[in-house]
Amino acid sequence: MKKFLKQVALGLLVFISVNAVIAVIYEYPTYKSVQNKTNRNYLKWEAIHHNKNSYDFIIVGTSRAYASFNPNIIDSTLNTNSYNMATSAQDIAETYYSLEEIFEYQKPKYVVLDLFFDASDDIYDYYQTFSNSSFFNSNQRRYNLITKGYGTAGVLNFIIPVVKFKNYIKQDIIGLFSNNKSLRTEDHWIKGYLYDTLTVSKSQVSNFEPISNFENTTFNEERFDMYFKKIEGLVKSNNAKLVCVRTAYPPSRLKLNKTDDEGAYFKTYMAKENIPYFDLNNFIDDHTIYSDQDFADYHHPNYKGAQKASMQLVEAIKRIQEKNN
Amino acid sequence: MLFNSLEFFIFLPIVFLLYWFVFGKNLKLQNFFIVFASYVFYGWWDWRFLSLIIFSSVLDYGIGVFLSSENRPKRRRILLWISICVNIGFLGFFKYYNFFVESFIASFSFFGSTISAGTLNIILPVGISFYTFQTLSYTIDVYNKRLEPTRDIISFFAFVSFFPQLVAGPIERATNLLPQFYKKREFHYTQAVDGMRQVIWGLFKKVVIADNCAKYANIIFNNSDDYSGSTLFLGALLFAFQIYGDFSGYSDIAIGISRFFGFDLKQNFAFPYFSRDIAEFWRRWHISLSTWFRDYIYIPLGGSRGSLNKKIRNVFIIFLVSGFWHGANWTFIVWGGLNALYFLPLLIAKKNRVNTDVVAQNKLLPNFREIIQMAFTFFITIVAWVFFRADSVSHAFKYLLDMFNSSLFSKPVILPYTVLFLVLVFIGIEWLGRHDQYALERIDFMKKPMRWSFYLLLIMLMFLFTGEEQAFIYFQF
Repeated sequence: MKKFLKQVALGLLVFISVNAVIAVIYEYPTYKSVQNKTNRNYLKWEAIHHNKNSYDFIIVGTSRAYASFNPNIIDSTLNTNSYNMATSAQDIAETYYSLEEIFEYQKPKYVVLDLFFDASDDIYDYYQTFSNSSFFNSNQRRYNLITKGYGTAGVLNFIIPVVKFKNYIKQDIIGLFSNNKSLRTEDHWIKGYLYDTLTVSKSQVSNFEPISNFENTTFNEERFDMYFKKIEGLVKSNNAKLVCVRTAYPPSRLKLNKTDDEGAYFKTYMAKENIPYFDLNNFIDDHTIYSDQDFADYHHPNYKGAQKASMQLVEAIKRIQEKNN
Repeated sequence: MLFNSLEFFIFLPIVFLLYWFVFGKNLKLQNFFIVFASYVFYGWWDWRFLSLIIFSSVLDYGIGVFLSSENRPKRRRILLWISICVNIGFLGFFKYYNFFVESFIASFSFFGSTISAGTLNIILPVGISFYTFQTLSYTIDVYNKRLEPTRDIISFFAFVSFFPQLVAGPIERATNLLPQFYKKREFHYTQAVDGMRQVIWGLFKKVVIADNCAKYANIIFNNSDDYSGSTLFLGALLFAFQIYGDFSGYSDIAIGISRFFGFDLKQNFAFPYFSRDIAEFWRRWHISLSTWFRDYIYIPLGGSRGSLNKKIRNVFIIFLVSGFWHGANWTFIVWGGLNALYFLPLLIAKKNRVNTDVVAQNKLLPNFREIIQMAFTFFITIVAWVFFRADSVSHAFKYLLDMFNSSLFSKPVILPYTVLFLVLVFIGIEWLGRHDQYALERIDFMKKPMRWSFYLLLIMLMFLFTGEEQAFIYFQF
């Protein structure tokens, strides 16, 4: 028995050591970027925490939202001080807890939430979520996000680096055998918005796959409904106006879908909840008709697409204001 | 509680330590602790399920005691039928009630008349098919005087509820498992290490092979109208590995965990995809269920004795019952029927017991004839799996029609290279270990550093390729 337990303990030790190495390899760049004040999530939360009650227009959602909405364009037209708090792979639960943190430091009049099936599915990018929430000032909120937001799977991912970084490790392993080098060109951040100058290539366009629908994603309606209602309640209790949008996809990709499950679902849901909702794929405006060249890849707008998306959002807010007046 | 869940990784070491260090000195206490731990394990899904398993245990224990003191054949037969009717009654109600009602309504509407009958919102208790068959085997064996009825109620309760194999087998016979509860268990290092190795291999099969194949098999089966024949074939192929990895993985974990506690369970899968004919496949697939049907249905019906018509009837009966055991859906019945059809030519030609050894015995590679035989058997198995996986019989037929057209030879729309690579590696390892109880049994030929590196690689792959935690398919049966 002693020998067996020793072997098990040794096995655990090896496993922990390998995980420690993985943690160092993958956490160190984040640590360095925070030290150098270049980490984008760190900078976003710094802006929120250190400029108390400055921002009256907050955008939340995934990378699709931070690549779509340029606060400079929004502010110049609406006379607001906006900030784009969307983060990579932001899950609906993460959005809720991020908003809780934001409302502790800001009093926005508008909260814009970008909707996306994949942000409410059963597949989570825990690394991104934990990286974002690591900058919350409230430890209790971070704890709630991990335990209430993701349950035991969240705890497991939080404590075992090989699970947390699995997608990145796989990507790096595949990268060892692939010649594809990143073509990223000049980009920079403007109040949480990614100014991306990359344009999708023809070969990427020819490899587009249909956008998220009920068949190719594990969209979790129950979870979406639960967190959306929590978000709605939170925004309302802070006297802000919740506006929902669905950011644009490349037109070639939209054509691949026989039915637009995502668009139809959110339209029906928001109508039922009586929440202003704008689908930027068909929110018609002469100067905001998209082409594939307005995108950096299969679903992120580049700076040209972002200009159109930001103008659409301005138009949407104006309509809400007109309706209210 | 799922084997591949965090709860179980906490539960197992606690139970292991208490079992050996706290209750190890007293056999009765140790058995009682097994019952307690098993009820915690089972009640984790829904504590209400416990009432059924306790009732079944009490009933069969009681009937066993009555049978021991009853010599009048008529009375003995009544006692046996009480056990069969109550156990099958529970199974029938929880698993098949809605199926019978719906089929009844459908058959009336087919002839133009409508009847109204309500279905019930019944939750199927996890693993009911497994423990029902296990307790029934005890009563039948006692009735047939193949087994002495037990007077040790704690051991009997532990036998029925033994947590490693409670919810998805192997379906153990009382003749094998029950006596192991009477004897004081000793901890054996080699047994425990072997168990650990089998658990790791079982988890690899489930988490890396089955769950990753499931991801693509689900997409293809759920959208089968949209895909080419080649993609549909790939979907069926991936499902074949999903169900094998899932179910045999569970059995490996169950057998391995039992070894930690000093128990030896029977082998449940013997590399079925290396079978050279369908009869061999059924001697290697879900062995504990196949032998259950053989011993308690097929042989009492006459087995392979008697006229050809009788033999054919018996084959159809066990395959159809086996299909129906898997679930209350016509798809399973058709799946069973199709396997019976596959089996018939072998039975008629008296070739159903030709391939009883291991393929390419003591050789590294099979010969051309064996490759063709294995490929053909695997192919017809895949066709049958389409019925097993499809939502309905019409869906299965449509799937097969769409699969067997000219697009079967086109490039599949979905090509998960990583998953296919993992499956190939998996097949290779299984092939090398096909002579043993499980693929890694004789890994000791490797030097320790190599062996440990291999284990570490398997474990890392499990964490890297873990999909979203998926329940084991056979829980629903």
